[in-house]
Amino acid sequence: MRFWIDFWTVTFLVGVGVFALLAVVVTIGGIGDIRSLFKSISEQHESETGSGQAD
Amino acid sequence: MDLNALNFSTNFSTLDWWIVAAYMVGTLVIGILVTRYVANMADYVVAGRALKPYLAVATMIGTELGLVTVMYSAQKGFTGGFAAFHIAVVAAVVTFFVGLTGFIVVPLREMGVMTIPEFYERRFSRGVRVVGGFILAASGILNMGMFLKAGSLFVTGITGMTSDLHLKLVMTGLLVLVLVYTILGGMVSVVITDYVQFVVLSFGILVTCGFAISELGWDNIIDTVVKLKGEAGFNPFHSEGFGTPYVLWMVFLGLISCSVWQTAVMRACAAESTKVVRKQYMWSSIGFLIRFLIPYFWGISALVYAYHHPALRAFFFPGHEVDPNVTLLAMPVMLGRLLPVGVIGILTAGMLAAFMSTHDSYLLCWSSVITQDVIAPLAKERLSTRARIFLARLFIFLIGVFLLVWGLWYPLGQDLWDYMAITGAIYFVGAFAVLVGGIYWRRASTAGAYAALACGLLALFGLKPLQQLVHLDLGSEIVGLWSVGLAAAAMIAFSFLFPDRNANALRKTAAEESS
Repeated sequence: MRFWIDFWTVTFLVGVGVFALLAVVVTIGGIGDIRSLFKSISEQHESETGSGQAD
Repeated sequence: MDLNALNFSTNFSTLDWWIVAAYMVGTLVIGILVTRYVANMADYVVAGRALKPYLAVATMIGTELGLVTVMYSAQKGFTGGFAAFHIAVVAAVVTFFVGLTGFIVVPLREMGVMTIPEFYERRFSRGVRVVGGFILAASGILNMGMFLKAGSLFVTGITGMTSDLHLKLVMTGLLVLVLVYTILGGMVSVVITDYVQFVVLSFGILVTCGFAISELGWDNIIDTVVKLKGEAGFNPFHSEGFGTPYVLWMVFLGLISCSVWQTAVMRACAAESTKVVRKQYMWSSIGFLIRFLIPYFWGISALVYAYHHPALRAFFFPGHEVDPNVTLLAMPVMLGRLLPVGVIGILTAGMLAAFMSTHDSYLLCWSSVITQDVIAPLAKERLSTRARIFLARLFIFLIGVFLLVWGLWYPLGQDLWDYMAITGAIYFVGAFAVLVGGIYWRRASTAGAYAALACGLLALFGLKPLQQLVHLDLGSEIVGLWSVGLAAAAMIAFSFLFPDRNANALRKTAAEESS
């Protein structure tokens, strides 16, 4: 049983650690991605308006 | 279950209600404001393809980490102890394996299909598509039949509402909110709200883990599980706990969840290339680990917390088998009493947002399957776009009504995770045999496909109320594994007995076609 207690303890610590790191990286990186997303959509609308395309 | 008798109180305060209300209103406002950037329907697809990596990961994890996932996982942690962690590890390993090998998902991506029933028609026949589509939708709708109930139990448990009437009102209110949210849509807004949800939930989840360990003590948590469950609380293979058949069932479920379940397949098929599919799956394995591991820990914490509080101990450890609705309540009750004012509100708000976004995705998914893969083929593709949209919206509403009725009426009778595994199995038991046969075996025939799909219906006998009706008493994992075996055998046997026409010029497998 000692093996399983230690195994799950390490699994939990590694899992939470990885998630915490991921959360920080994605939160910060996501802000830039949102700006890029809006810019990309705006640019596409401008090019569609310029070429007279309609959906 | 009359919760009035419980007389529970929680730390949920007026401030927390304001936080939840502000978050809900804020999400809807963001959704509406962002929709102004969407000029046409195609912008949803553009948004999808314009997703940069951080936003894509936030959306992916946001989608995976739903309220219902948290509820059924916490219940499993409460009833299974640390041994439940094996489900998370197995899910992660299997997902990584699928990414490494491209098993099923790469051939599907190469074929360019967007739905499993679409594959059925391309590989076998329109009839298989209609039958398979019907089974898929029925299974999926039954599968989400307990979502509303689980969500409502979370809200009532964490806020301290203990009245049956309040539970029903909460269920109805949540459903209306979900239907409004789904109809308003939000194309690009779904991505933005997923990101906000990810940030809020991540903070809430990590803080909650910290509070649980700090309040309960890691050594105390271990010692209590040892005391209550012995080795079965840690060793998943122990015969008095999960046992080897259950672990095998979880391996199969892990494989199915990432490679055969409709929403997973859609994500894979929307990837830019097969290389991206493989990378997506390998990275997703972290998400699969976390989405189960942390809620299991919350359930284990709830077990320890309830045991050490006399008022809760009498309710959650009555000395006889406990109703699954009771064990579902353990985690939210613990959170409501453990977390301070403010933190509860933020976590609840994040959980409700996750709840809504899961419903949004699944309501759209199943109504689309019924419209596109059952009705449209039966109408020989004569349905106009307008008619399809109308039908999809109608089915969203009808499914919503079903969720309300089923959630109020159906006696769960088993852990929610096991209910969801079995209702999912109605579809994926047959689908797995048809997919593997159709992709990797030239001789797989239409008759074999029909037979395999029919075997999937045997999984219904994994539901406890049905077992009671026919005087059966089998673990759901036994029914599930037998159904898998029978479906595979049926695919092979019927393919040999009833080969497709032109058997001499054997049809290429999907794998050969795509290479």
